[in-house]
Amino acid sequence: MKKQLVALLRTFNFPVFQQGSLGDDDIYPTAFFTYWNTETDDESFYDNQNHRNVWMFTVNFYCTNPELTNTILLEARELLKNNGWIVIGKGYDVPSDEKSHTGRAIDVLYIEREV
Amino acid sequence: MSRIKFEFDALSEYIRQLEQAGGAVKEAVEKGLVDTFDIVTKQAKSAIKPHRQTGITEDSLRQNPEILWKNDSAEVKVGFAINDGGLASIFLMYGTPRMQPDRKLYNAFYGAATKKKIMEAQENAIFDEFERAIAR
Repeated sequence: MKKQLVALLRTFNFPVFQQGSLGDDDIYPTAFFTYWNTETDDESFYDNQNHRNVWMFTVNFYCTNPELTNTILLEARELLKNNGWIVIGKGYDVPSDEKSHTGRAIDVLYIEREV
Repeated sequence: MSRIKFEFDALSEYIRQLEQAGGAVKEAVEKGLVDTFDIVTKQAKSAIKPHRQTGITEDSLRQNPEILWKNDSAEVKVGFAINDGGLASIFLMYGTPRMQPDRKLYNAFYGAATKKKIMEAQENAIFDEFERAIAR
């Protein structure tokens, strides 16, 4: 599911990183996404096997333009919803290492059925 | 810093029955919120320890519950006081592009297991008071 999430976010033509993967000396791109897999729960047990996995991620967007920080994240929300992801709410502010950038995040989850 | 409410499914029905039984509703709610505070604070204290450098963030963790009533609902202040050095806790919980999030710290406040413990503590506070009331 990580691959699918990253592929969808990359359609915005901004860099996509795992949260925390930029080095101390790495320069922030002007705008970029980060993601973090917060949890993966197994559900729907039958015959001692789980038949569903619930993948939970945080998707963050950072940008030097505060308005774009908001609008791109909302567009990402729509794209994910249109591709079967469940998005909780419309986002919340997250801190940035750099004063030049503002950040917003959404919590998203995907219910994957075990075959 | 967070504020955690006293709320769970069917709460209004439990309160109604507790009032009918002559139970002390306000005291039960406040007991539930104090227990909530203790659960979260203990978890937060454990989760922040690995991040200790100056101790400023850890020291900003509220040590005493402050219960706020708004009409018929109550909540308790819990967590790191942002104005007292607790800002770093936000960075730690959500991470940054240069720092991975600390999910243990986040889950101390918002995790599913924490929410379950809080709900049980609040339910038990009501049930305990109900037992006291019918025993009187």
